[in-house]
Amino acid sequence: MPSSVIEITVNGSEEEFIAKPGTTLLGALRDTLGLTAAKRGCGVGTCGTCTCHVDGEAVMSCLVPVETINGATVRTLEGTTPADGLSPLQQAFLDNFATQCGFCTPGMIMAAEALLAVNPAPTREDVVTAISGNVCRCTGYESIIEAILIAAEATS
Amino acid sequence: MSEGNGANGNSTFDVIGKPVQRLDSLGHVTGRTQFFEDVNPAGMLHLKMHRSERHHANLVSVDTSEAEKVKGVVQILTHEDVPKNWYTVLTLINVGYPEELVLAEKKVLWYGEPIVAVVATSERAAREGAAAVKVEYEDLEPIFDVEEAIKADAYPLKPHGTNYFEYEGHHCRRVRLGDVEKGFAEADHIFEFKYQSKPIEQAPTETTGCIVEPRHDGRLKIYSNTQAAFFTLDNTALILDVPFGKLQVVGGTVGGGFGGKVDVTVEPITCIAAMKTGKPVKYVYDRYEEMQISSPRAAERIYIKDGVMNDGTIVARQVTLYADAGAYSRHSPYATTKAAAHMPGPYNIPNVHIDSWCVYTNRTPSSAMRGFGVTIGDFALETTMDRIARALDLDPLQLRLKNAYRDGDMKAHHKVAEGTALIEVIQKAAEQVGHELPDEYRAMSSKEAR
Amino acid sequence: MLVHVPTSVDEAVALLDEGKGVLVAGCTGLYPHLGPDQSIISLRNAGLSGVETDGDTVRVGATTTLTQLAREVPFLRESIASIASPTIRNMATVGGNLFAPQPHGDLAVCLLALDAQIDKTGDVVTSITFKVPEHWYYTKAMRRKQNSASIVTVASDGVRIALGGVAPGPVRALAAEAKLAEGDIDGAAEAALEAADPFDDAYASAWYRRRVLPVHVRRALTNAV
Repeated sequence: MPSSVIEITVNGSEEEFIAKPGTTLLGALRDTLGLTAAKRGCGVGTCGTCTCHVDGEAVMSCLVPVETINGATVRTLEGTTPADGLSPLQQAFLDNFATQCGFCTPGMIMAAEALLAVNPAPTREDVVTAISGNVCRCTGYESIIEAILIAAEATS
Repeated sequence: MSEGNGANGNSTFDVIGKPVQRLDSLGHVTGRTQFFEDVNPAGMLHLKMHRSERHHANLVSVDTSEAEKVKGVVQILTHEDVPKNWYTVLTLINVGYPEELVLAEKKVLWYGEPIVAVVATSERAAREGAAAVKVEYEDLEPIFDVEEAIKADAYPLKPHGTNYFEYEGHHCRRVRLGDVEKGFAEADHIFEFKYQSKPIEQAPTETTGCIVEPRHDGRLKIYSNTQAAFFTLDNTALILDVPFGKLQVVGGTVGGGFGGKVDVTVEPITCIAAMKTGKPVKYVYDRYEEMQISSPRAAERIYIKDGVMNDGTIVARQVTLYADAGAYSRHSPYATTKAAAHMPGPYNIPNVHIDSWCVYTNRTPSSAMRGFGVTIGDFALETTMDRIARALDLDPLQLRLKNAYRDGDMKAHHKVAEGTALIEVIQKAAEQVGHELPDEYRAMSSKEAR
Repeated sequence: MLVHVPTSVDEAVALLDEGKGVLVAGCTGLYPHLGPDQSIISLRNAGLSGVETDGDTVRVGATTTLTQLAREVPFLRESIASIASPTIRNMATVGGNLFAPQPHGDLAVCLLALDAQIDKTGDVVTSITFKVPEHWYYTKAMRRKQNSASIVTVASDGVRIALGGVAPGPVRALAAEAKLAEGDIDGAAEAALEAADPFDDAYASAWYRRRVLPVHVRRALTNAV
């Protein structure tokens, strides 16, 4: 089974590693690069816990064969966390009780990051749409939506 | 109320009435919370299961030769590799007897029952190996209906010879108060209703799984997302036939459970794989397994027969409840006891007859889920109350207030009710939604003897 | 299992002809359900992405994502917004949507109503071309407001009517079109049933799909996007 050498930029750091055929971006991040914020909830693109950014767009990293994005720029929740303190979204999630079990949280924040990057002053409807691919089974959607709106207000 | 005055007048309320940051939230928002699958020991192997493709069948042959040839497969486990293959989680609290198998031996009782575990160097190879196991079945007639299962001529699924759990020699959990037939004879109206629920999957975002790492000191370190760490530790030790001290469970961080992670389904076989190979092993359900294999909330069938007077007073209630445990007990005998204890609802009824059955079928074993044993029964009871109110043209809240428990009432379980508050809760709720109640109903009190 | 990432259409066609794997693009549909030993040929780097338009005719490269298409072609925005979630729309492609099994593939329903033309090289779809219609009618009934598969999808340019969710594939409702040509919207709604061959799934029963189809055809045709 011929493995491939993959070169991608992850959270500003140029990474080069060997991937077995069929390795997903999620698998590479978690198992090879040790970046475990992105989670594997379903492995079929329906839960959103693996949400990361590839070349600036939010994607389900469990559906990305890593060989197909050689050369891309990837951002994960680890990359949005400042060296000191928290990002506005992280702070808003913390302050507004937008976490319960915590498993959906990294994906929720990455989906919200992608929204605020293109739409810094979203409506509630925009927020609902942006996280429509992310499942929170503890059903904390209301506080998550609130937190994203508060973070948007804090930054704009 | 003045803040800072506790019961003794000297303590302060530091928590009540104030938002308090969750201890684990900082880890959640930064993605640093360590879930079991975030552990990634070097050289970790992966376990995947070959599962029954029949609801009910004898196993004629199990052929693992093709699986052994799959590149990356390092270990294949059958029931012969499991020291104590027969178990039942509730035997720890003296409920039931070992009747579930870690890996199937001579027959399978449900579609998805584990038969052969395949351990490989990658998840992909483990999946490929598991798919390559060949099983020959001799099909048996499956039983899917609880009332079919308890018929005298039904195929016995269990070693004890019946298809229901035996509670201290009885066919079901029974609650008796007064004389229900006499109550029905005296009643102005008889109502009979049937309710049927379906199994409900807890569907946590994080699927069930564990990683087991053999340690230098000979112990096994089990990273698990179980909701029941000590149940897991003790049951796993019993299955492995090792002292409890040989195992260490690292748990407490659960990506959603809702009752779906209280069974001990992944840890024992993963421990065996780790012991056999001397390497860390991961066994985690994929989404399909989480939805189809992990235990759901039991389906229940509930018959309710009520004897009611013209003024809405309920004088007799008979409930026959069948909880579908599926193929194995797991937590269902406990849930069915809870169901019996919950009947006839929070009402003072002088004549009560409850039969609560825990029934085995060839369905996926059911188990815990938020309020299991109670939720479906409550739906049936309260729907019944509404239907009676509608039939007798009574206000549904007044019907409940008239029959609600008060302190001093004798409950169906022969215990005197105390600390009751249903009357006050209904009165308050009625007030808040603007539902007008006559004075006599507003004046009712739980403290006032009937 | 191998992952082929051809950098041209010809290379992709050659790999496909040699049986080197199944074609994938956005990897949102087929990919997650492949077996452990199944190889893939990804079109991601085959140079098939992009939208060209002169305002009248639109030519869409096969691996253009749904997000890109919505950005470039305003009349389709609302229709595309009814498909999956933004995260999946960032990945799923126009070409891939043609092969999405029902009750998915709502864009394919739109393209059928637009009488879109497909260009191929070998067995690889390379682009899809359609004219911007004067009018556009679209509705999709779902279990939730967003990110759910179709119970009934109706797309129309006011002449052609295409349906999703109610048959094994996207279908034209020809009898309904004839009624619509006479200006008879109620008649068109009822006649749409002639094209329906619905199925049961987790989203709705065949009975329900058939029952509500005329309602949604009527709603679609009376509310231009």
